Amino acid sequence: MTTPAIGSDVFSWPVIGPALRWRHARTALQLVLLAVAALVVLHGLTGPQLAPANLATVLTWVHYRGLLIVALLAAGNLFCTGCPFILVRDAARRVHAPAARWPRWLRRKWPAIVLFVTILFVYELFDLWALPRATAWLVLAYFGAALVIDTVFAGASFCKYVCPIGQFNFVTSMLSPLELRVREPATCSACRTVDCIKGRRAPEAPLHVVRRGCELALFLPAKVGNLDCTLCLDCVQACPHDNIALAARLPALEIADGRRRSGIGRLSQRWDLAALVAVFVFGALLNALGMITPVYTLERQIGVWLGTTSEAMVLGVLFVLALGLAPAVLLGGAASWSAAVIGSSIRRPLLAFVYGLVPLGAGVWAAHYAFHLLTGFFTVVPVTQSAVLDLTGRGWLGGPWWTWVGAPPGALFPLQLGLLALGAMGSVAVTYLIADRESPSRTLAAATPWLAVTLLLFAAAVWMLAQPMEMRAAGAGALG
Amino acid sequence: MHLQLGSWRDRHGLTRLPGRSAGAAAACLLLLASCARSEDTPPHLTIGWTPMPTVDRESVAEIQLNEAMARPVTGARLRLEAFMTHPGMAPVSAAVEEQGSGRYRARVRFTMAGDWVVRLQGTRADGRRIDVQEDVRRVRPPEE
Repeated sequence: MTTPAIGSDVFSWPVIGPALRWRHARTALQLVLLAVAALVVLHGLTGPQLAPANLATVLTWVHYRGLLIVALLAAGNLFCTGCPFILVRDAARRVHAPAARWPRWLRRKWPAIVLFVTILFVYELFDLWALPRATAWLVLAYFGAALVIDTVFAGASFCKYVCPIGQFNFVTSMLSPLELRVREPATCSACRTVDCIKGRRAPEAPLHVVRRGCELALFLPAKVGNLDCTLCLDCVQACPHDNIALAARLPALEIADGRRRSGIGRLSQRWDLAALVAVFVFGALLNALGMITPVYTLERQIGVWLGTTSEAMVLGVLFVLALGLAPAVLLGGAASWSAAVIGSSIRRPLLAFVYGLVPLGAGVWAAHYAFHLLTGFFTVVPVTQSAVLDLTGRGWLGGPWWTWVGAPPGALFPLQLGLLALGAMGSVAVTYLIADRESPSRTLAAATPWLAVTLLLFAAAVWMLAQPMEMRAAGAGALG
Repeated sequence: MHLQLGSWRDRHGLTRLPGRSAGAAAACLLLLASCARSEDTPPHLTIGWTPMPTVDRESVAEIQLNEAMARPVTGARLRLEAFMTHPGMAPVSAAVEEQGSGRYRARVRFTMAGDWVVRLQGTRADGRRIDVQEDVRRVRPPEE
């Protein structure tokens, strides 16, 4: 697969282009999100411990998650661009510059996958969405982790190897319509300074770096797709030839690109990335499952089988089933089938085709988070009014308008169904492209089991959406 | 040129942060937090439901509000709001009528299955504020 031609370059657009190229653009966005994070922490720790009336829970679990996936699917990895953790980290690095390099044996996604699963588990077990103070502490923990890791280890070790949100963004950004890409390859061929990765140095001694290069080791001329790109725009600022575009592209096409990627290698040789995608896809279904009525019955049944009333144990079994057994059976089975068609080991189709499920997984996350975003979009208004009332004792604009909520839940089903269908169609298309790459002579036969898995997961997601919702809270105990 | 850049960038090429501004902002946040009003000792709240809360069916909340030493809260002006525990969902409001001896009554129609929190806000007869809440575990779906 060759690199597609540069589409429309957002940097050349009026207003938006110059704004993005402004050297303080990222800092400005980070400052906005830092202010929001400060609000979340402050209200979470000191405000009412009632989730729907606290900015920590409303902004985090309704707005941040929803806007994050909207931004990813509509533009790109903007929430990594504006990540406030990195702003604080950069400030700390001014005091303590990191000297160590991230250990070689940890240079995979495994730590982030473990954290991703842990957060999903903790979210369900303790019902984090219902706990403002815990949500505030989670945000502070993110700040602390980024601070500690990146003041010890150079580069963007936290972003690339640890941050679970970052991994979620990286995977989803494979579907983004924008990508940082070299404008003119010949210019890069003639470049001797490679500032985009090494950073641009001052022209005179002591030759300090004045523009940072890519901290995630993505060398622009060899960069393929959005994976591991935080859209920090450091490369754009560093390139002395103004040779980097924020180009429009066909979303998801990069998933089928089998080329070696700078800073990543080949997708088909990365077990960790394949595992990350499996967690991303099956985790989306598991996260949505926690919102519907039948999960009570399922958890009770598991409790009966195990002879326990421990919610942690029951949830643990559910996680093992959903994130371990189900992927092993479905993906392993599909890979066995494809391997027989291709005449290869199971490993090859497994590590090639699993990425085809990314669009469907993103569709499930989007359907779920868009629901919360749109049904609760305006709740930030009465909650802010309530916070002002709590803080000052005076109402703001006539007191909390609790009737300001958002779209009625039932009205969103067509939109959710559309997002799922779009995701499933994307997965079907990408799977076919991967099959064409892996088995040009028997494309359909190689793709068939993966298309079946896609349809099965799509059907499961549609069934979940059609179920009545039932939201639990901390300590409610599904087993009681 | 170098000096100009140096005023904005350090040797790692990082943008200088307004450190003092960040400190001042943090101090302001702490100050704001300390300005938050202190609440009166909240009264003890118990709510009995008839029938048990079920989606789209009216349940009557029999509310008992007592101060310390079981002294009933009389003459309070209250409003009831019920929230789902998940943020972002539509709350339910209900008028609260006093029945005497610290007893109040509200008619609530829950709109979704799951866990809710009932929040009672208002003022006592002497003007002191009341803000208390109680969990309503698992409002049943209509078919159960």
